[in-house]
Amino acid sequence: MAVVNKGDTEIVQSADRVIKIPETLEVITPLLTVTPLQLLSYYIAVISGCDVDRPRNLTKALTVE
Amino acid sequence: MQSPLRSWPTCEPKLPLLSEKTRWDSQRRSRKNPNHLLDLLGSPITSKTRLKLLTRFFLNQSVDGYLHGLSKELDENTNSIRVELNRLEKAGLLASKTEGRRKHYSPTEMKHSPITLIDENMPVVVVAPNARHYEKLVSNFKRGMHVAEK
Repeated sequence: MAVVNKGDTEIVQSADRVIKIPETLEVITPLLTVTPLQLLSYYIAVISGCDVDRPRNLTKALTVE
Repeated sequence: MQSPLRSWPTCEPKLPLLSEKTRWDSQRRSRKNPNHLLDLLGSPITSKTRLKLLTRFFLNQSVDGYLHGLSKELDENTNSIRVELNRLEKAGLLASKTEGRRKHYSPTEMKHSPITLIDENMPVVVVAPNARHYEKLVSNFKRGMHVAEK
């Protein structure tokens, strides 16, 4: 699977699935590429039956008041 | 007259103090202690033998090893060592060369290993926005595809 800019020709040919993001400033690009990947990981977690609201080991990093 | 210093009450230390050298040695030992690393990596790497082999090879990349030597050194069964050595070699983490009757294993260059680990069943996500390193990304992507097809 690939996350590419709109108008990409090289990677689109070989990838099985493509997510296209609009072209923007290079500094802002990571914000656009990360969002679909977060959603992807969210759906993978839900499909594999993980509790996404209470991930394992997260309690160690957070103090609950 | 007795010197006042002589009559000074001597204070014996109750616990034997470590000399500077011993203290330094023990610190150095704990820093280089591979057991600490074994504890740390124990949860992501489930096989004890594989973990021992990985730490053995990648803490000191210049030293190679062979089956029976490693078995003695790591105090593990030769069969489990053989299985893990074969797996690591197949994964591209170790390379082997035969010297006489011994097969010597040494760690491979780690630079390209993530790509060599790709096979046809491994899902790969490529993030390739049209930015500075686009050309490099495309060539890496093609290489990954090539490795997966092999």
